[in-house]
Amino acid sequence: MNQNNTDKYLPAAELAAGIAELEGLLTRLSKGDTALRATVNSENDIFAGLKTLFNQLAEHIQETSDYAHEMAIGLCEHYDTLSRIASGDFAARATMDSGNEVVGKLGELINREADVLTGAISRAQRAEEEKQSQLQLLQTLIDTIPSPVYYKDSKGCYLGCNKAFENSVGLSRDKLIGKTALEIWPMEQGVLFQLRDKELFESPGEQTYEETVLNSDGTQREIVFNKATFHNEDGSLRGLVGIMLDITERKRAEESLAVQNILLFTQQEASIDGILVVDENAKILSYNRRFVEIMDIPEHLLGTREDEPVLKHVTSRIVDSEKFLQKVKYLYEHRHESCRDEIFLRNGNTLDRYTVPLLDADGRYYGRLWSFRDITERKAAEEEAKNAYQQLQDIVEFLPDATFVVDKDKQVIAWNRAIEIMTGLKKDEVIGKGDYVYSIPFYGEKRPILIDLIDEDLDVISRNYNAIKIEGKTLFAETFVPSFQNGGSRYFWGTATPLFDKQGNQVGGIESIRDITEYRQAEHENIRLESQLHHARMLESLMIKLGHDLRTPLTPLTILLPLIGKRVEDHELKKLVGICCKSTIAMTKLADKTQLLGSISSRVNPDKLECVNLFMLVERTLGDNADSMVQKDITCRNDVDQTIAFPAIQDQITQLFDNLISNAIKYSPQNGVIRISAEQQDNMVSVTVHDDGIGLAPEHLERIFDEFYKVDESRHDLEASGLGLSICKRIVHNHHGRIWAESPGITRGTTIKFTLNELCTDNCSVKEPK
Amino acid sequence: MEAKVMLVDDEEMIRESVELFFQSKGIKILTASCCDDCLDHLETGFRGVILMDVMMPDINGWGTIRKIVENDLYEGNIIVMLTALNAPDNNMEGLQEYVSDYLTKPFNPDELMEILRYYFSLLNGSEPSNG
Amino acid sequence: MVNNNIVMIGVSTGGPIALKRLFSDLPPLNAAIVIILHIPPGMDYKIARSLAAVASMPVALAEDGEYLRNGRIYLAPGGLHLRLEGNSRIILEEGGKVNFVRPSADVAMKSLLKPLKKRRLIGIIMTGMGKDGADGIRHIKKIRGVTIAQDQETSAIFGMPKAAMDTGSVDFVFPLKKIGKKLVELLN
Repeated sequence: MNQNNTDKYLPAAELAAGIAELEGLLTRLSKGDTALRATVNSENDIFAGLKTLFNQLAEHIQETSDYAHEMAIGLCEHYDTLSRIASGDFAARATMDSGNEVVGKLGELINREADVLTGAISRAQRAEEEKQSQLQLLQTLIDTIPSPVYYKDSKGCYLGCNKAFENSVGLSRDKLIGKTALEIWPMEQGVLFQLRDKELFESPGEQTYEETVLNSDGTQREIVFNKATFHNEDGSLRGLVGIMLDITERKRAEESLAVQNILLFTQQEASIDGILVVDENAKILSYNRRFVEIMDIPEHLLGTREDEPVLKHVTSRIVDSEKFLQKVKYLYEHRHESCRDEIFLRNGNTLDRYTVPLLDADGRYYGRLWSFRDITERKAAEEEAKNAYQQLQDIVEFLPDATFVVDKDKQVIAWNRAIEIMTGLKKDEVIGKGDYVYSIPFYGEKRPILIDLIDEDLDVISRNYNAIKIEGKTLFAETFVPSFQNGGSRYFWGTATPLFDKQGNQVGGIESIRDITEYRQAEHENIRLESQLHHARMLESLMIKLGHDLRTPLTPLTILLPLIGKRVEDHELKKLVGICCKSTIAMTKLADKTQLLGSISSRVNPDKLECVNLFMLVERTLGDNADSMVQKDITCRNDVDQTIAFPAIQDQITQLFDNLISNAIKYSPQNGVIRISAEQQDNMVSVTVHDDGIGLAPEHLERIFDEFYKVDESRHDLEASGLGLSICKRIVHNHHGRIWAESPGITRGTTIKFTLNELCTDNCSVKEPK
Repeated sequence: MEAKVMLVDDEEMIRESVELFFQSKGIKILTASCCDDCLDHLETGFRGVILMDVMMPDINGWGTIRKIVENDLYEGNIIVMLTALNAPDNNMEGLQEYVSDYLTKPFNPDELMEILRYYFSLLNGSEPSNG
Repeated sequence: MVNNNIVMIGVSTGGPIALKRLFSDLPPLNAAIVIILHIPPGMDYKIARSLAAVASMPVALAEDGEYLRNGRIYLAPGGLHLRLEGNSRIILEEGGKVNFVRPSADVAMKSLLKPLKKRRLIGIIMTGMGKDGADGIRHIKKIRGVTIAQDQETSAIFGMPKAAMDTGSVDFVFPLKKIGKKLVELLN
């Protein structure tokens, strides 16, 4: 038992423990523990100890509770009794039966009181504990609060705070407690806080303000301070408690929201669409300038923020007002519907209207947005495009060549009359269809044709399809279809070109097809004829060359034979040599004639045309043949119309008449008459050369104009080459005319008739001789 | 007597037959088978009537005439073309004044004689003696 | 004497013989005859001499400044162009070859002027190579002259006559003999 406990506020527990010990001692004493007595100087010591204890207890109890205070007084009374007993007041003892009884009573009393005290102490202890735990709880609670919480006493010294506050300040609680704001916050801040505290203390109650606070981590935060004073029982100021709400994020969010709002507003204003937003009660939330413009709405109507008057005004502007109104009402009723359509204004403009409800994620309706776009111009352009498109169709329709147009998906969008006729497929069987429908009439099956290649890389095409020619973007090709429409084989020539819009995008293609079968056939025929002609020409050139080459070996013959003839004296030999000479002369003439053939078989050169006066030409030719005519006493009448003059090849015409006249002379009898007549009609000259000579049998009439043809094969007329008439025929053909022979029969004369057509030239007139 | 006629022709049979002919007429004739031979003859003093073939290999008749003129060997000669060609081509341009006549093969020998007589008279003022 | 009938003849290869044949058959003609023959200077006098031997009219080389006289044949000398002044005075000049020749028939013929009403102007193109004289013939035709071309048959070379004919300005195409006949017909 420690009686020298100087600690003024001995905890009740210790007291209780001390009392218990004492009680223990007293009990032992009362039970006659004389041994103990020996250790204890006297009962006085025990009592003194008790006294001290009681004093302490009383003081302690006095501090803690009234009851305890009363109990202490009671104890003190008992103590008085005990102390009288201790001072030998036997009277007092006598009042009690025995010391033991007293002690026992005291012990009982003490026990009871100790119980009470212990109870009180434990209660106080418990209360203390509870208080402690409550305090603990309180601390835990305020630590849980994420916002910094602190409390100060009336002098502004921190009494306590929570964890968040510790973090904010950067100090732990025990460092804070007892310090003022100045001591723990940076200078400026601390001063400010003090001032604020002062303000609050001066007018106790609540205080709220916003401050920028520098955190211990160096960040600046926007803080809302909520403070309140708390008071003692008597109402005096005890201190203040404060909580710091960090509104930095919120502030940032507010700013960002403000920016977004501006953005939104500007967008709306800048939009080319007119925008009207109404809330769920059909009150106007917002609109933009464009809306006002488009709808031509007076400002005051919008100012009312009511949808009705605006609606009325808008409706009045629209062509089909009833329908429009119905639609609007419908949409307002059907809150979740969006819609897009075109509306037509009375002033001729067309608007594209789009409306959506404003819904949140849960589908809650907040209002409706109306968007209007003026598409008048676009519509006009569309109309124009449609017209142009129609024009294209019309043009395609009347193209003489079979033509069709496809869009970029190779669906037929135009199919003209000509291709209807060519293929037998009518427009309505084909328009709108794709999938190579256009190839079926040609190939009997679906397959790509020329138009399908216009998308391909031109290099690829030219490498893989030799027959396809490319010019720019246009493809040309010829195909042979073995059996077209069950009508035999045809040749087709096609061209396909892509079509582009103004921006240069390919929007389709157009193909034209032409049936060139006849043309091809004509070409083939032409080729065949040309090769025949070529062959004939070759033969002819050979012949001419031969004739030419003959001249050289003919020369010695011409020179030497006469020489031999002169040297030979034998009459018979001379005759033989004479025959050889004649033969040589004939050969020479033949060679000459082949040369002539060469000169007249070449194509007529228009530059070589001269104006021929037929009468004069015939006169001249007759004159040239005068000698042979005289020999046979033949007369010749030149009945050629003297006005006939036409462009021709003078040499050839001269040759022509020369041949005919010399023939006529040759086959005329003695005293024969040859008559030449000619007349001109338009561009054609008809000539007749008549002799009354040996005539021709019918079977010869056609053939006499053939090369080397001899009526009488057996005639060894060395003078007659057989070329004369063929040359005539050639000349007549050169002049685009015809030649033929007529004869009543043998010995009844022959008439050669021919026509000459004017070859083109200008300025041809009769030349009158002076 | 001096040769009055030169025949320039690449064909042997022509040369032979013409030579025979003129020999029968008693007229001396030189033959040349090409341009060079012709020039040789001229350089060694031939003057008279030159019968010139057109179609010869290497240098043809026209070319030969040009060479004759270039080498100043024309004076005192008369040139008569003797050729199988009906008509001359453009190669004759510029040579008109040097070509006095143009005969086509095969020529009429009598006609040739008549012509030659005239040309001899031109050259000499007299006719050569006949054989 | 200024206003003669004038006959102008352009002729080339084959000319000497052709001229001989032509004039040996003709009587003296009532005209001054100018012959443009393509010859080199060394030959011209020889031709004139031999032609003189057969022709019925005097033949001489044309001299510069000389006046044409009726019934005479004038041969243009080789190496010079011949022109007529006033259809009567002969002018000989040097100058570049025309149509590769000198004298050139074109030059001579184109120097002719329109004759007086009663006077004849006759242009003739006879045998020859090339096309000299074609333009001349066209010119003569324009100034009211009569134009004649020798035919192919009798021409040694038909080139020049053909070229003349191709101009379309030739009135007559005659064999050699007929040319002579025509001249007599027209002049005498």
